[in-house]
Amino acid sequence: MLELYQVQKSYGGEKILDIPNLQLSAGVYWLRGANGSGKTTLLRLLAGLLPFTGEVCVGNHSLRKAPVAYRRTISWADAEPLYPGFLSGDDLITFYRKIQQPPAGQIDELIGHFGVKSWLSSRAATWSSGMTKKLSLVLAFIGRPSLILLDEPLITLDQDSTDRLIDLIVDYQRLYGTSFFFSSHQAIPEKLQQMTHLLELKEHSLKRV
Amino acid sequence: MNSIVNKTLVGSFYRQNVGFFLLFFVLFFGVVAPSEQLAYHYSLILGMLETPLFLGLVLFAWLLYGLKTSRFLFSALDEPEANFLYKLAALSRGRQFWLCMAIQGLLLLPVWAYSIAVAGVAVYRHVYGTALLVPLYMTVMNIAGAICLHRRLQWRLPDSGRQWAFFLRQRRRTMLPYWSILLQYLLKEEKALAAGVKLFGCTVLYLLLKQQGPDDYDLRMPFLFYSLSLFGHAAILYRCRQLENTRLLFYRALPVPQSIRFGQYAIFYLLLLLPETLVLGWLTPHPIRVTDTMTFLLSGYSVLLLMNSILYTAPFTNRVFLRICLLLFGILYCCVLGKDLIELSVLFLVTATVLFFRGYARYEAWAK
Repeated sequence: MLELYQVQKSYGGEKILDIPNLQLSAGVYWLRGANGSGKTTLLRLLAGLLPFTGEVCVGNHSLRKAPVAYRRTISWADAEPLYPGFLSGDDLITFYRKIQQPPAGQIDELIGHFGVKSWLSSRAATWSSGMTKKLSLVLAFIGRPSLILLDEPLITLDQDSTDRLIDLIVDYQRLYGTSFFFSSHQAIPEKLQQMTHLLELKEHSLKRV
Repeated sequence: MNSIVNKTLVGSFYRQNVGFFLLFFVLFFGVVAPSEQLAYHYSLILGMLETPLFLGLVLFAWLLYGLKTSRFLFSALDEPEANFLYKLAALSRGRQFWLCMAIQGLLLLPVWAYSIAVAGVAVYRHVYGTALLVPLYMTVMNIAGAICLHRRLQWRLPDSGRQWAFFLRQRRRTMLPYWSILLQYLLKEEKALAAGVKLFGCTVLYLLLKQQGPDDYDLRMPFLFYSLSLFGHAAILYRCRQLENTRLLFYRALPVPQSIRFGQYAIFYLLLLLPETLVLGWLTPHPIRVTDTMTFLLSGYSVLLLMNSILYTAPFTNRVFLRICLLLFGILYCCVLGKDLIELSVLFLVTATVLFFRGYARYEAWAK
């Protein structure tokens, strides 16, 4: 599902990532690593936000050679998402709908699942960080990406929303075969323990635990 | 305490608006030889004293600047880094108010300085009505700004987002193209900057082109001012890129072809030049010829697209970017003198396209 070849990333000459070769089959991957180990950089790199050396592929799509096809197969949500304060949740969903072309009814299901309907018409400037996080998760699930990258998906969420997110991950994995790759400092929730593979980012490289 | 407030609010206002002030400095002091500065400003002030319409326009421009300062203060207080300033609410009401007066006064300092000069000339010319009106107007503006700031510090005014909510009611949309997000950003969060740049560009175009006659047809001076207004757009572009680097980051991860992304900017800058296009259209074919109108528009459009693409070549600081834009402005004006503007505009367009397609995927704003 996800393949990395000779992936290297540096900031100002300082090496952050150096992953020789890694192939991951479809599934749920839980990425761990100390602060500053490069988790967010790796997720942003996989999301196509950062230039790097090497190659990353999802399915048959190379990020370097077929960037649009690659991006169609992935979806990404930031750890601390930010949106223009003048846009409403409806605006952002409209924007994503046009690009991601979700199946009929999916957006309403996601809105209901995360319980965001009541404030969707309000502007992002009025949202709390938890509300912003929930909307970023709704947006990440829009469409049928084969890999969803979630950077610290559990932070700022209340317990109920955390449970709902876990349920959705389990459902999407079972029903649609969606793979997940997320970073978190928290313990793996019980519902995910059976299906989750642990990865660790240590000394610039990614290793299975 | 005053020094912390000055650093947090006053200092950052002048730092953030360095491009804006540079533009006005060039406009008011850079276009006239040092020996003629006094006479130039004296004649400008005389114009204000003798033409009520001109005075009205100037007062309106000052009001826009005052709104810009208030808007900045409200936004700054919304920033998490400024949370500590709410300790100011623990001061006595009188002390708070005078502090707000001082902050507002410091932000209005450039306008205060000019208004005092206007009042001085008015007294000298025995135009006592204006001599009284101008300082009174400034005082009212200063007090009004201070009251708003004072109320905001006490949470008695909504935050900067909600205060405009009445005017900016959102409606459910069926489509939201990317260019419209950038445009909304300018109209909702950068109103004063956008209005200032557009007002300046359209006014100089109209005033300078209106004077052109068949016998003394010379577009060098109008183009100099037009290119100055294009230079002013650099601040708009820089702000837009900051928005993209922070709050529109998600767009980079979406499956959108590069050509469509470039097209979004092409549409955005076309719309951004709409006010100047309308003014030029109004003045065509007399006093300005059709070919010259096309040259003005093509050069303006190509410069905007090029500045946009340059911002994708590296994460420039505001200062470095302004220097690059100044260089572009110099090249542009040299070509006006050499009459090679069309060729240069085509070259700019090609360069903008190449730089964008090469730079977009490699760009990382946070690579510091």
